[in-house]
Amino acid sequence: MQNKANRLFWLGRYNERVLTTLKYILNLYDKSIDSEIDIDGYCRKLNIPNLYLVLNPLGINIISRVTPLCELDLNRMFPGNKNGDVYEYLAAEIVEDITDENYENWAVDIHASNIYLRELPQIRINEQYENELVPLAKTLNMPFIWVHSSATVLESTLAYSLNSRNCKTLVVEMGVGMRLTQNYGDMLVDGILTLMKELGIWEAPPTPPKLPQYNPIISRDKDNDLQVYFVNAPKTGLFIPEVNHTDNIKQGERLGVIADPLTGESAEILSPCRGLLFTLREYPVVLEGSLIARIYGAKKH
Amino acid sequence: MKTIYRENLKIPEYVFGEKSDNPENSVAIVGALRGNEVQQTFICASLVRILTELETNAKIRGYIKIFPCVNRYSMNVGKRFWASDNTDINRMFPGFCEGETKQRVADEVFEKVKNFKYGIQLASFYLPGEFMPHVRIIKTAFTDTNEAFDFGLPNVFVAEPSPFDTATLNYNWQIWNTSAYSLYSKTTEKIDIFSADIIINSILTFLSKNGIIKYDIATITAKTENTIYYKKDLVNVVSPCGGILIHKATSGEKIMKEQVLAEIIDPLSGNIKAVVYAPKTGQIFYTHTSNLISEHEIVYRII
Repeated sequence: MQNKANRLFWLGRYNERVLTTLKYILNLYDKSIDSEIDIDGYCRKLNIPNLYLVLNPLGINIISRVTPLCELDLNRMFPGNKNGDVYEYLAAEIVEDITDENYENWAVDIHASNIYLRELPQIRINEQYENELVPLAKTLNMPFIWVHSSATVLESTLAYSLNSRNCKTLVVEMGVGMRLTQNYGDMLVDGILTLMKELGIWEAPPTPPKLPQYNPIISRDKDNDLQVYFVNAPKTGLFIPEVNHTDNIKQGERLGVIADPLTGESAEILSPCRGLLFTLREYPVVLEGSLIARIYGAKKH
Repeated sequence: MKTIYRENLKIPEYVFGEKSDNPENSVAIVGALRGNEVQQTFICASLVRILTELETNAKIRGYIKIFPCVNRYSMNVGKRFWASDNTDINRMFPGFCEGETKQRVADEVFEKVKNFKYGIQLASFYLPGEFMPHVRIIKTAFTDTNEAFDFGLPNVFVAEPSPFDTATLNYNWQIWNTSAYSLYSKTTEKIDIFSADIIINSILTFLSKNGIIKYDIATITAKTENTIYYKKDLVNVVSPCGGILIHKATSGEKIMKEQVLAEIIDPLSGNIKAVVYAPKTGQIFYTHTSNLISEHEIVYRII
């Protein structure tokens, strides 16, 4: 009974704290778009991590993935340039603000794919940082960790800039761009709290609320037996899926068809391997080469 | 490549001269990789017209391929980047034939333009603005900076590669042993005949000096003094505030330190919010062209 009361007490405390924080942050959010606010000072006072809710607020306002006016992807502009144009300057300020040579820093860079693909919640890690980041990634409560080869890494991303400046950065991809997938968000919030506890940033209650825990699959590009297989559209048309996202797929199983809207002809898309369908095309119009699916699995030879 | 409701996507090319075993006198010229590079397409189209005439008069000595517009898919619908997902083909090189759509497009382009001795790209800057016509080299071990003088343009700009440069056509050309040059005209979306002629003449000069065409250089470009500039030689003048930008100076203009370059007007009251002064004596290399400006945008770059 005492245990239950204790848990309820802590649950109440955390609910209250989360609601108060959210209320304060949401009030600051509008101000942060059009004027300057001291979010750093706010975080210091509360002794909480610095939350960068949105790095491209003008993009959010015009429902666009890219920056307004010059239409550039901010996540291809890092590490930025203090003497450059407004977005290069912004990128440089972001990197400077997050990194600090005097402290050990960590960052979680949260992405929601694009509007074309649906992603299983996953952490993406450059193999160069595998040893440091995989143990941290395991605490983030995500079902899938993808350690990818350095050759495919984009050096102009925020994560690359932070990791190369000794700020250990975990990149999260989940759901669909411009859409909110609440249960994925909930999983990540739990994960971030666990990560913070692990790092000693957050003093967890004596009996923390029970979180759903995943023992994540870890995919490494260098592994020969199990790896990520890409399925690209062999032709242009409308993709009509016949499987569900996160299904376990058999090798040769039909993932769907690509139909030509003018002739009605269709081409079937078959799985190249057996495994977990962790990425699935969400937006139906495809051109030759468009990504249809990514499957983590193995091939029968 | 087939598109869903439009005609098939093709990359038109024009070939002049015969391909030989000697790649020393071969050149690939690439126009619009982005859908708003109208001036760059126009320059290539003009070159096609001139080279057609030269070929008729047997004055082609080497092998030339011109791709006036790679990205018709975007240009025809008024989009700057790839029309369906707003990505930039010039961040996809060298491409991948089994990859995503734009990687395949980049791969197809790259397969066509690689293995030439020289590669010339009619490029545009990522910011909307006007330039002094110049040749730009992304500095690697592969391209000879001095060869850039063969264009006869007074300004040669040498840039250290940034992370995003590694996926551009210019950089990858060099990795594949092509001497690569990016030529910047004054404008991008609007045609400026005068600066287009400067670039056209500079390319003809380059082709002539390298034995690719036979042409009297003296008739096309007077001898000019060449200056190499590096990033450190460029001074950015950024806007101290947002507002309506009224220029008092334009690209190419020689300026004195403390000279008034622009005024920024409050868009609601009409009052002058800020005056932009020249931080040094020099010449305006780049000018921001939009009349609306935000804080910390580059208004001018001065050499």
